Amino acid sequence: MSRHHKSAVASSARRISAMMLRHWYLLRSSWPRLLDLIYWPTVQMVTWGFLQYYIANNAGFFARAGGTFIGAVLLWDILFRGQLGFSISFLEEMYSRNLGNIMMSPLRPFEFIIALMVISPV
Amino acid sequence: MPQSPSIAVERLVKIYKTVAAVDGISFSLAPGTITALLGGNGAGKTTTIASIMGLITPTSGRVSVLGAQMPQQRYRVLQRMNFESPYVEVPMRLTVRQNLTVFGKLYDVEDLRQRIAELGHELDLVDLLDRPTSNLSAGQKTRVSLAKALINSPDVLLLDEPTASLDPDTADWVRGRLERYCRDRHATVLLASHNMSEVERLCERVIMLKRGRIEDDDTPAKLLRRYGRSTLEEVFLDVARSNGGEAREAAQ
Repeated sequence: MSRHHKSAVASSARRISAMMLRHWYLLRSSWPRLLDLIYWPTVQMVTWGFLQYYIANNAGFFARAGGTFIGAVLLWDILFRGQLGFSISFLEEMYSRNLGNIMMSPLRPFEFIIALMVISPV
Repeated sequence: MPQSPSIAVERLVKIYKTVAAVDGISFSLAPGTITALLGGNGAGKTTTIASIMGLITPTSGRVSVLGAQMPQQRYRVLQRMNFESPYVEVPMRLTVRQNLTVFGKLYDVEDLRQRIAELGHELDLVDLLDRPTSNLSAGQKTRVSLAKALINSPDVLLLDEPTASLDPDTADWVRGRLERYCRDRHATVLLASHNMSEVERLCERVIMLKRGRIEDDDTPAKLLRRYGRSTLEEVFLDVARSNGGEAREAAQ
């Protein structure tokens, strides 16, 4: 890899981390966001734990099938929340009227998308 | 040897469906100059600035900034450009320092802490650095936007009404800072403003747009002489309300 290419990759990584930092600052500044961040995974884990406990004590075919189904639903929910996080992070830029600043900065569209994808599972 | 222009616009045309927002304008701006782009609503100022920023693709014509063709080569030069507009805000929930840190990193600014401290002193933001941007007054927010626009010490600075919502004293102070920045950095500034006294004070050249075309292009002093007026506001009204050519002839 040439020096120029390495420095381009490093710059790209810095811009992605800058966008992630922007969302981290946002998260830190807002307790409703932090509460939302803690609340949903907690509810899901407790629900999942109780169901697993129930299924473990009723290890019939239907219970196992139900367990698989619930696992699939949980996985779907993780993807759904990721997608929600992605959309909300993007809408946040529009809502705060910051999109113009971002579009005028050296941040490439793919770097913006990567930053949103990385931040969305949070 | 003549300097190559920082911004060169050649026969720029931008048509939105059937409306020509910009209709074949050409101009070039030398490094270290402050130029105003004037015109009424719908004259084509925003489209021209958006073309210079590489945000829209012209229908025809060419725009180059610091030697890069826009929008194809915009990422070659965006690091050396910046802009400020009251219609675009920095995130309100973040503190001033956090905002400047994020934008400093986006522009890959070296020694970012020091740069933020410098801007804090230059724009009188030291006491505001750790306050959320949403808690600031309109004038303070404008100063923060200006700090964001200067974070990368740009060679080309595009300003859209930089002193909107500022009281006369602060506005004058901001103009002084802009003048000093342009002189020290030898930066090219293109300014869109409806504040004619600001244009008269800051700009050595005025480009007047009307219905997507350049109606006139000269120094403020020469425009005043040509139209036989005492203020740029009167010249602006002449151009906006009538045919510019007729107004000039009547004055002569």
